[in-house]
Amino acid sequence: MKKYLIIICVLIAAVPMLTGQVNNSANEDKSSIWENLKNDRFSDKVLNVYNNEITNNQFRFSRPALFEQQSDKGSFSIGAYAAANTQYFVTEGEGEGLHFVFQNINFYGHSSFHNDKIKLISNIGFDLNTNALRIEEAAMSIEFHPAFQLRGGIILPPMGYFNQNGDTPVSNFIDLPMSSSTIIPPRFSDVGLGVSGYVDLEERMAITYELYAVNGLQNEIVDNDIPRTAIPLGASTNIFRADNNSKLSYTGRIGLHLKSLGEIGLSYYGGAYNTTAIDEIEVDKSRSLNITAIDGQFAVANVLLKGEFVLANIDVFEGFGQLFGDRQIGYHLEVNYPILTAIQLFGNTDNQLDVALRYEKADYNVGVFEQTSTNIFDQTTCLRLGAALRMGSKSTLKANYTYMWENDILGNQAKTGGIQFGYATYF
Amino acid sequence: MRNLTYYVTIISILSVLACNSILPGEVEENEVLDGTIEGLSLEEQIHFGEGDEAFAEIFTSEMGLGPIFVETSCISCHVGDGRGHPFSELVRFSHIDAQGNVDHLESLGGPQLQHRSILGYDAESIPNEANGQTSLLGPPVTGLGFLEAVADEDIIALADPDDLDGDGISGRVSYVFPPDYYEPFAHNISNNEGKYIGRFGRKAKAVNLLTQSVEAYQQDMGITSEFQPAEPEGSNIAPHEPDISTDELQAVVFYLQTLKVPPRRNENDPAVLRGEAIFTNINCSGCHTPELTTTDFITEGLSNKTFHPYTDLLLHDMGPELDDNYTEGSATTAEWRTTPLWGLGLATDAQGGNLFLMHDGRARSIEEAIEMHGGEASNSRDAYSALSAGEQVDLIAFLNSL
Ligand code: HEC
Ligand code: HEC
Repeated sequence: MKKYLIIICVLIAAVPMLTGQVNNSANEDKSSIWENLKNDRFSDKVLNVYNNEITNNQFRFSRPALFEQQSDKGSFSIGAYAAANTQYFVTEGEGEGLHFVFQNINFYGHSSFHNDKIKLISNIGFDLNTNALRIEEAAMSIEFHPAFQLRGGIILPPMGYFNQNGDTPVSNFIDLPMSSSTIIPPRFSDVGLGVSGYVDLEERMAITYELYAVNGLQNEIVDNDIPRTAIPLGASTNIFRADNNSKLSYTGRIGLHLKSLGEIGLSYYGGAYNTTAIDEIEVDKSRSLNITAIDGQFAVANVLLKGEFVLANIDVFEGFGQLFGDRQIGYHLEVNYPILTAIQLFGNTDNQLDVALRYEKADYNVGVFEQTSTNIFDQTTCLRLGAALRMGSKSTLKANYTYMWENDILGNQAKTGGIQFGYATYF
Repeated sequence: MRNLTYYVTIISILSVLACNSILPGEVEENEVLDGTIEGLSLEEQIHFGEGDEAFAEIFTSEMGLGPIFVETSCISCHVGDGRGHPFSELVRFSHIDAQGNVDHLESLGGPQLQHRSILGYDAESIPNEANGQTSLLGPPVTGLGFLEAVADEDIIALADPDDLDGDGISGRVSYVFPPDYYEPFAHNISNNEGKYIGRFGRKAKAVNLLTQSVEAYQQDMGITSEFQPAEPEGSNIAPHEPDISTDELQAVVFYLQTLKVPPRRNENDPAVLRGEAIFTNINCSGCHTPELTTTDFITEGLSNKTFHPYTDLLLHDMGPELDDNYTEGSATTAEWRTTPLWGLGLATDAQGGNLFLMHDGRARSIEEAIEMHGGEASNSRDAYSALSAGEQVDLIAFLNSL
């Protein structure tokens, strides 16, 4: 079943190429900043993201391609990226030894036709947990007006910054921030339908939005053996599994994009997640969760700042007592700076060496104990240092150092330190 | 290009340095409670490892958790094998009438409160019929094999129920009826009523580590076993196959038996040595017996060993302040088993950097714990209050070295 769907996705994306003739003429319409960007060389585009020349959403439709074709009927491109690393982590003197991690491989295809009014995007990732290919995204969008596009299919909910823009080569860090991987599920998909668009406010400013109705998350959020409220576990890796309740969830993001400066976004995901009946016997009332995030990334004087703040409220079955948190908070702040640019390497000069610093924190159970009125811990604080050699706009060689303070629910602390070397590249 | 080489070299050097100096180092061995007693064979060490794993196992509803429960693993209440935290307390309740008859309110879910439940079930709350309740925190679970290996006659010899020596301390042996499946060790002797000595639990109700563990699985997590096949009172669930195997249960018991004695720190520090002398002078040692000896037991490493638990395994009347109007076994409501003081200096490591002492964690410092001693311990407590500030500091230094 899954195999056929993957083939179908790729085929749909290939339609315009198969029917069209090759035509390299540039798009005439240069009325908006977005359109201008589309015609840039791609390598510029990654740098553009880096320098905030284009919006998050635009970026996804213009990644480096392995194969790219334009015709009078439309355009088609496919590409991929992959990342691997080697890491050495030690917790209180005890380590797992040096080992290699194949982080991910992700294939994507984009196509557009009817004057770019209809776009298709698909992403197929290799899921390391299930060792299977997973369709992360297979969505179609129809543009009635730049400010109003209909989009549906398997989508990546626009939660925070990373869910849609987690391409490993873009970041100077090997690991995603905790707020975007342990509170917001990392790169999670959902089936849904919605609208999106952008409105130019003036030459250098635009508003972007996305809004979808989706199936929603699942009961594993609290039905797990960590034991902890873990939203990522509720993001089903099996997108074809029937939803466990009959209620829809909603997700959306509104972003303010300031050209050459950055973008700030407010996103939301919410709805019922729990199983209310087992074998047709009612076991619980319907319970919902909602996640709100503010993300931002700004480039000021060559310094790229990224940050995110996430707040999740989860209605948890009373029977679990305070074991499962009903509120989680996470945030991170990242500073990236190129200390060397125009490095000559392998005959190219568009290489740069970045240094980066990230501070992050995730609190999985916000509140105080009923018994003692003291803080419920279950939280992790983390400091990461990174150096990354960005080779062109395609590949990034990364060296990261991590120091982590993990507190169990009572507050007992364990310290972990680690070193990672990684490579992430578009093909 | 030269610049690049320069930076790459710096980064490489830094990361190599980092490996050695910025990765968190190992915790000193005398700072952790986990670890085996000496002299275990390879086979025994493997058995210990299995028990260690089972002790840390987190149960879910699929594995038999609940339907009503208190916590999901042994380790969540016995973090790092140390003292418990009020968050993972056990609450027990009963009704005691004017004649002193104790009703554990079993038909109402007593005596233990299971205040959590799995989906589809209601957790318990304390019924109105209860007129007494207590909160209990887990005592440290280290060195328990040594306590189990103390001969009954040694415990009996420490008792002085009628206070014949006139020191105000009248420790009493806790004689209880063991469960049906109980098999005594060679050094366990029943009294003329057919009761055996209870030595584990805050009220010394459990006769050995097996019965304590069986009860913990069933009462604290709703996990049934061959020995205790029924779900906790108030569960309303049909009889079924045991949730855990006897092998797993036995591995946990072996783990508890062979966990090392809490290591001491700074034991030769002059202040600590002065404190140790004070501890004996003001007769803390009248209950917190510094030294006991084991008899022949299941393995070489536990047999005929002298060890230092700072408990006499006896019940003592601790006065009205510590009387929660709840009891079990043969203890009165004011009686508590002397808590072993070993591992006291490491207590904060398991309690989130705080200190929660006495059966329900009401004491937030060692000083407070001492001041809460009443009843048979009044003389010692008063003697403590009469100490000079310096002597008190020495005594605390000693207690922290345990
Ligand atoms: C909900 C918290 C909780 C859980 C879960 C729990 N314990 Fe305990 N444990 C306690 C408390 C509280 C006591 C004191 C009990 C008493 O006085 O009866 C205790 C006492 C003990 C003792 C006796 C220690 C002594 O010095 O007398 C042992 C042994 C023990 N537990 C083992 C276990 C094992 C094995 C498990 C898992 C099967 C377990 N416990 C699960 C809270 C817990
Ligand atoms: C009459 C016997 C007796 C005497 C004498 C006595 N204790 Fe205790 N001690 C106990 C009992 C019983 C408990 C447990 C009380 C409870 O849990 O509520 C205890 C608990 C403690 C605790 C708390 C341990 C823990 O882990 O929670 C400390 C500390 C302590 N005693 C220190 C002392 C010191 C110091 C002295 C001398 C000044 C002393 N005790 C004298 C019987 C005694």
